[in-house]
Amino acid sequence: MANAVLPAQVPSPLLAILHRSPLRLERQNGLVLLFGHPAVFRLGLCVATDRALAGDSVLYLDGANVFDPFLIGRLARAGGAAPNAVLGRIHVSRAFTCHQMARLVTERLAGALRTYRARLIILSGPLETFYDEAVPYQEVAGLLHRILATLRHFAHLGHRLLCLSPVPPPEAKGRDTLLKTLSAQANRLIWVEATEAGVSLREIGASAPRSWGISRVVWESL
Amino acid sequence: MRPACLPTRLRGWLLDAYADRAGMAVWLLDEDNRRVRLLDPFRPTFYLAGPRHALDAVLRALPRRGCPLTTRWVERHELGSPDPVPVLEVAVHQPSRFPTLVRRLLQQCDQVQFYHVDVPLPQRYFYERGLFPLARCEVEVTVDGTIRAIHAVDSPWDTGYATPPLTILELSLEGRVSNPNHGGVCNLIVRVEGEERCLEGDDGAELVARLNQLLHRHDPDVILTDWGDSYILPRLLTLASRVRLPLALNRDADRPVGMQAPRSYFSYGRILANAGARTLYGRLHVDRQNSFVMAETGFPGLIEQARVTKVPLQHMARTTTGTGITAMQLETAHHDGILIPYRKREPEEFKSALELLHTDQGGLVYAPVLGYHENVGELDFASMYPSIMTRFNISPETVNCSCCAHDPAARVPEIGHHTCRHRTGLVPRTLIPLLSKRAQYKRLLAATADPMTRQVLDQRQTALKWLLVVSFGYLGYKNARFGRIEAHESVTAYSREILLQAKETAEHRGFRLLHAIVDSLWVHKPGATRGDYEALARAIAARTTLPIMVEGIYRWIGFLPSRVDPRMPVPNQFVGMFETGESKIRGLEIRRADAPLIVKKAQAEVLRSLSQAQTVVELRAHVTHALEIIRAYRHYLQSGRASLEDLIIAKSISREPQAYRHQTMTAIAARELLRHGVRLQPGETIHYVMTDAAAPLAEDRVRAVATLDGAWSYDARAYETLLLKSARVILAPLGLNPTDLDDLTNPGSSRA
Repeated sequence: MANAVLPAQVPSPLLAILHRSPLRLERQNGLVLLFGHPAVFRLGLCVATDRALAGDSVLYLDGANVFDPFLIGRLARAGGAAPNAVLGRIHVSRAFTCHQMARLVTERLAGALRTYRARLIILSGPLETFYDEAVPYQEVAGLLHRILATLRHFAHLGHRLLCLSPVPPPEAKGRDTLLKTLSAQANRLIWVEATEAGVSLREIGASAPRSWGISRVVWESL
Repeated sequence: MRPACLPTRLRGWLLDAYADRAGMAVWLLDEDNRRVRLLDPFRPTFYLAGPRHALDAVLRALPRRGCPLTTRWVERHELGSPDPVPVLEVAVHQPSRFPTLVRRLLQQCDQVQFYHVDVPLPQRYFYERGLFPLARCEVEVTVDGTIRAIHAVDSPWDTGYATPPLTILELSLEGRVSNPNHGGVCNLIVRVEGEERCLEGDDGAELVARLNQLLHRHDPDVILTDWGDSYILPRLLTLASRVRLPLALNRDADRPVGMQAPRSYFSYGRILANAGARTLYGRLHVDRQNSFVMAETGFPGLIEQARVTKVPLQHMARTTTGTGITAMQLETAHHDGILIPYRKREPEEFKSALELLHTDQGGLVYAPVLGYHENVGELDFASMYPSIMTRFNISPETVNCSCCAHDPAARVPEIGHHTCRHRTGLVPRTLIPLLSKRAQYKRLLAATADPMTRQVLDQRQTALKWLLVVSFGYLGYKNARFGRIEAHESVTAYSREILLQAKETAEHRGFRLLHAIVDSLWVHKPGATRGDYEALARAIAARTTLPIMVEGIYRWIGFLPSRVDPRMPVPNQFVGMFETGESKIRGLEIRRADAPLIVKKAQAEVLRSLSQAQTVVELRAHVTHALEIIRAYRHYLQSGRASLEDLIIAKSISREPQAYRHQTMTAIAARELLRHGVRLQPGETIHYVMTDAAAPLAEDRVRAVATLDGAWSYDARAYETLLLKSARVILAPLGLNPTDLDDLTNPGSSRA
């Protein structure tokens, strides 16, 4: 049981890496888009926990049905906090259709920000529901347009926004432009890759491109 | 098909209905055995709501669409809202133009909310006129076949209804069992009114002409096919076009054959393939190989589902059961004046992650006590989830209603939700007649001895069972029009509480709980009689207020171990022998679609041998015979005499062949088919045999059945491994370890 102590040590190096990256999200960054490997979802949960550990209230809008309270509980415990307290600071709503996601962002978000006095909004897989072939492309494009307008508005008001978006699945034929549309609105773009060494994060388009790495040992012990 | 002079009053069965330019085309099979096409001047409506300026813009845009319309302001209700809302009602005079008009408006008017726009028109027509597929009707018509009045003389809730005398023509491929799209050439077999003909394909024109002849002569109401959607009809239509001959598949000669592209979709965590559709007008095409309901419940079950859901028969045959239950909810909403929104828009309420942790749980499971047990009673709650929904009034608009927040009796156990105590919800109102009709069928079944009648009754009640089963999943499903995740969570919360109460009641009466899974319990008490188990069921029903029945008393039942870790129990994996001599098996190869036939045969023989045992002691005594059976099968495999049918492994592909990253057997076989030009879609089933499972070259390990030629051999050792696995799971709890099982059944071993 040599690695039995690992969970208690995991958050420190991981959160330290996150703190050095634009994912610290303590300051206003506008819209930060974390995209690429599906590891973005886990990173998003780490960011949510990090902010909740710091006492912030977080809104987590889940379009990919990936919210994992157990992971947050483990991270909280390892961070020396009571899981219930941390879980209580993160407020979740799941959307299972693009119309629900659009309504969530455009009609419900403002009220939730007031109710929970939250500054940080995490949109997890906002495009996942937009790949549904049953909804015509023009319709989803219109919905995305409205979502992005609302997000711009909240960013303008000083809210911190983190979008988690893996690359489109093969079934999303012809809809990969949606991610381009989303990334065109982002103030900071971070590409996430899984490598032999672990998970790497690389900022794209910045004047001085930077990258960060999370070792496999740290990542897999989450 | 329209008689020159129709009587003014007709009686018959409603065969088909679809949108036409001037109304709904309605096909009637009348009492004189004529098939009559009538026209009902029906004007479907849709509704619009939104800011005044946006609606004014729609009003200005509408007349320019070139389709006669009537508009008026009316009041309707949103689901769960006590106050009516003013909406603009638009009536479309040409139903066939309804979909195009709506599509254009949806694209152009993004500030407007649309209602009632995507309910299929035949369903809308049935709702408005109180009709349903294959209803017995009375119709008043004019001489030119226009319907003045139409009404059903039977009810979809009747249990003793007669079905129309349908003429059925069957099309299949000679000797074909697997998907013909994966390769091979076969002759077309036509069966109609007791005759069978083989139409050979050498001369295309002759084949089309002969088929046309049969269609004209017999004028079938139903064309029943195997692989008709994906293979037979597309090829026949291509052939007819090539030889420039019309093919009389449709009764309505003015219509082309309806076509829907194949698609893949997720259901209960699995990806499934739908082969698309080729549908007819005035005549019904049903493809047995592309119909879940046909496979599960046969034609009587399909008719039953079409009648109660009001989904046209051809569509019901191909769609998911969830679409059926949704259609029933749409009808309830329509009749109550509730607006049916275009797409589901209502998201989940925000809740803390802590609340989510408490609420987002499934049904309760108590892991089984491993091994074989005697005198075990199985008690099942009847349609537990739908019963919970009706008993506790769970519906999207009743959960967390504004009127009952402070009523302690309205609280859902464990989680913070409550349900309305004042108004019955849309979902319970939809489910109550369904539960009642199924209960009636079960009573009839219990009172009927005739095997033919019993079979039909059983297929009908099974068809209703499926609708009830999916009604729960559709509370949370993304495409469910009136779904809501909080309603889903409330149902599972009640189910956990109820199972807990059932367990406590059983233990209080001295029973030991051996296993429980969501809505079923397996309990044991030494010396308990059927009367004791019945009394327990009554006590549980009294405490939980939900119906529960004794499914049966097992002479013995074995809760079987995990194939990976033999110390681990697996929920819902067991083999049991009832007092009646009937067996019940779950989770074994014999019930799995992907197990090779030879493994199923061997397992069935082993189970037949064990079934002779009355006690667990006797079971142990039958192990020797079970080993002999396995040894004989291994010998047969090693001799190289196993047939292709014995060896075929059927697997569903979860992605496109190129997308597989690992060299699994399924991936190798799928790629082989791809190299042979076969287009596969995720969810499709492919068939292969293991030729050399450990070969260094992946292509040598398996062969797709469709590509097999004369020269191939199978990997006996690989099949023996499957055989031993299937035996081990049953025999291990009787004290047989894997090494002994292998040694004692190996024909070459000295211990055998």
